[in-house]
Amino acid sequence: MTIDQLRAKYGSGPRMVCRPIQRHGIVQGQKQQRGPDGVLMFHPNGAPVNVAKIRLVDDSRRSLHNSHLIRTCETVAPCPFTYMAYVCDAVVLQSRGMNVPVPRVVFSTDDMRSAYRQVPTSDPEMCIVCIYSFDPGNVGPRFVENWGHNFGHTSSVSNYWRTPLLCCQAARHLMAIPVDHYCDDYATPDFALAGLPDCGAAAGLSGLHDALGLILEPAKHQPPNSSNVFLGVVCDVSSAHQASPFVEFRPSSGRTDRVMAMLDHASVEGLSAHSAQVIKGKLGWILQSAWGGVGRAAAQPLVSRTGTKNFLLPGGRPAPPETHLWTPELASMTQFFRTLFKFLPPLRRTLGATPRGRLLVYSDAQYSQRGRKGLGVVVTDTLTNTSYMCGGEVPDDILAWMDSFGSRKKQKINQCELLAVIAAVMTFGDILRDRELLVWVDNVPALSAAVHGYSHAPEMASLSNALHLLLAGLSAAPRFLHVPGKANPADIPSRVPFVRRDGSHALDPDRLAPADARVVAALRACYRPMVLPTAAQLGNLKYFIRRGAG
Amino acid sequence: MRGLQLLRNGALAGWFLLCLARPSVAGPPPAPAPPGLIAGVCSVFAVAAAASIASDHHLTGLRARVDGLRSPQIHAIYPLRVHFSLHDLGEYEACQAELRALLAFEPVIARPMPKGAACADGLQAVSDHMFIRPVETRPVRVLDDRLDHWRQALTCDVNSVFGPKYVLPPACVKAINQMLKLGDRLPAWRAGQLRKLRAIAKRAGRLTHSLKRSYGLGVAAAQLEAKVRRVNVVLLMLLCDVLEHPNVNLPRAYLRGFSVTGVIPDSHVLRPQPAADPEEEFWVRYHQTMSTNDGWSEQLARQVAERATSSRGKALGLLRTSWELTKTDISAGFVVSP
Repeated sequence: MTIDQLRAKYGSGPRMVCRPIQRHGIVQGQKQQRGPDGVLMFHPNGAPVNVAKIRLVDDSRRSLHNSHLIRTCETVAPCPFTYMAYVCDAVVLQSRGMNVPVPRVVFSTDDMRSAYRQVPTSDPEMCIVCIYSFDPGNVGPRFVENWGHNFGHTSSVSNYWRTPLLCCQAARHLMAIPVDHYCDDYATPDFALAGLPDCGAAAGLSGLHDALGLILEPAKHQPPNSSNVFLGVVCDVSSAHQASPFVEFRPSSGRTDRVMAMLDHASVEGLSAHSAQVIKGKLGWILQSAWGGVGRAAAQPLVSRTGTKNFLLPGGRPAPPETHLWTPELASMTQFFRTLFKFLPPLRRTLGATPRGRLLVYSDAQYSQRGRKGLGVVVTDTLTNTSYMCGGEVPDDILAWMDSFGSRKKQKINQCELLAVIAAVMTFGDILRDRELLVWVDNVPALSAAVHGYSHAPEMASLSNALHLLLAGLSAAPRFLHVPGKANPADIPSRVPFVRRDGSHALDPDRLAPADARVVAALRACYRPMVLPTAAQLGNLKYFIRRGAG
Repeated sequence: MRGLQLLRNGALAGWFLLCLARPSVAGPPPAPAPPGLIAGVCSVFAVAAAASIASDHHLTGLRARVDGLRSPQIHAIYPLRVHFSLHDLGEYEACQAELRALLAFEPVIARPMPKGAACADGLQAVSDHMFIRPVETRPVRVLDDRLDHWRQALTCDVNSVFGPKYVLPPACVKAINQMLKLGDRLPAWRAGQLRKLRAIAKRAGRLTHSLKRSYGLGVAAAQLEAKVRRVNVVLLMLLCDVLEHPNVNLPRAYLRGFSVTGVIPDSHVLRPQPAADPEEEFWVRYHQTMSTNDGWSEQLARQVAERATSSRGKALGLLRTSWELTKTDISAGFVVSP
């Protein structure tokens, strides 16, 4: 309807009861095209046929709808892409408890058709969208009444989620289907017993929706299988019933291909801030299925292009805010992700495993501008009750590498602290493999970079990237914690050098304070020479990918 | 209530008899009515009065039935009391019993804890991502003793810091247990459950039909019901009842619609969120903003027109595609043609 028709229907002046919302079309990368029958399309050479993915977003923030809302509840801790690992873990543990063989697990996925649109609103006058009509004879801005929920209302999320939640509860209780949902996506686990492909969970969920009058999208249904794509991640549960059961996750090849295609396209056509934002979002989604924070820091050139934050590029140059230019940093990042996607090990979750005993890793650094620049690491394996210790000094070439980023900071303690964590992983890789780690760090910026796999400072970002690539390669599950400096045992080897005595290495007793000597004596740690990356290796992150992948 | 209706019926009957005795009360003197007509009117009125008394009995019985029914849904939809007959209520209760018999295990649901609250097992509901936590919440509380820190770290409990964000819903755990117990009988059992559920849904569908007709649908719900899909609201109600689902408002929202602005009522299943503003202040601000709707609509129309006429190339293509996608929504019945 036109503005006049809107006024005629909803009143005019201060009595107008409707508040329209502007509708935008947003290109969200590309998606694989589907034929009229809903089947995914491929080129004759097997490559997927991709088309621009456009989503209609109603700007409810600018129209003030979202700020004129009191929500009394919110959606948190939704079903993650690792959902099937949780299910398989429960299957393995319960099977063992009941003394029955672990059945073969399969799962299907479903999607509710036009999910938000199916749910009615009580105030449709708050859901009218304004969009330009190009129809011949009906050209101009038009107001379109929307009966379902808008994509853009904050309330749409919490309003919508109640329906699939009830559907899941019904399926669980009435048909013993351990299904869960992420928004409109369902993951439906089932068993494949007695030669059957499944035990009717998918049919049960579909039947439940039919009975309720809610519509599932048949074209998006993935039949029961041991490997399916859920939330953009390939989940493989085929090993869940084996003697050493596990579930593996990896980004779907379609997703990685599409992101790489977008980056390749941008290398020719240029990269806008919006496209950078879209690619960053897609990369973030893909990288969640990687170990820890792998690859997050490598996306820094992309983050600087999004224009939301002002980062310094290598050499201390400010990132150009509004440029579309394809920079060497972006080219390098593209190459990094191409290699990463090729070698990235799948994320593996071991099932039903009893904890193997944790590993404690303490790391510390000492940085004096004119004096010692030391690193120290203490590792304790609670499984074997053995402690290890190593220490050393930061090589000059690594200090020069840190300077190469242009910041020329006099104090490099943060960088050295993070380097100490890397040294711990490189030195004790054989012990850390497949283990749960408690990594204690006394420096907050280093801790932050380790936790997030990212830092605003480019050299810290690079170091955290290296750290997470190494940890991914070792399939280690780290948990980073803060330790007060005065309580950090790794402080001792960072300050006190090792000396060779009686054919073995020990901390120089002449420089050990009595309290430190007591700690060293109690630890009874074995010495190992510290392994550090070279500056050349730090400048080439593919080294860490390949080292991690073995 | 019943006494009042009897009083009203009595007054009407008295007025009618007075009209018969003194025609001037009812208006100008009419022509004398034939005796047969008077007798007929009297008998019709007597039947109406009797029907009214019977209706009162019916209502009383209905209310007693509703009050006796173990159904938060029926109680939540208060006006429903007059939308279901005694027979309907009996049918509802029968469906409820049959659905309850289909439960594989006792209903269980866990609502996420409020932000910052600790669960029963001591886990933090939501991590606050603080690197340096208050000493009393640290897994190791030693501040300045290296040996002591190391000793405590060997056995410290880090679950309070790294509690899992997602926990498998308890009903899923029970469902898996049921699947394992049934073993090879699982496919046949599920098929049977689905068959019975469909039979209940069919009966609930008939009740839904009469409910929607008498209760009335909201504007948006009516449009979606007419063009897109038909939600079996009574089956939703039955499920909420039988599963003891705390989101009591859900079926009613499918009749009347969900609020998208203003105060969104608590779902009782999602994580509770404290309101930022006092409600009175919120409504003052709300009404102030809504008084500018006309100006906002005009501004929006102007901006949209300017953007369309000034766009070229890809931007114009995007606008055209957006319009085509909106037309797809129109043809699907989700929105109304402009």
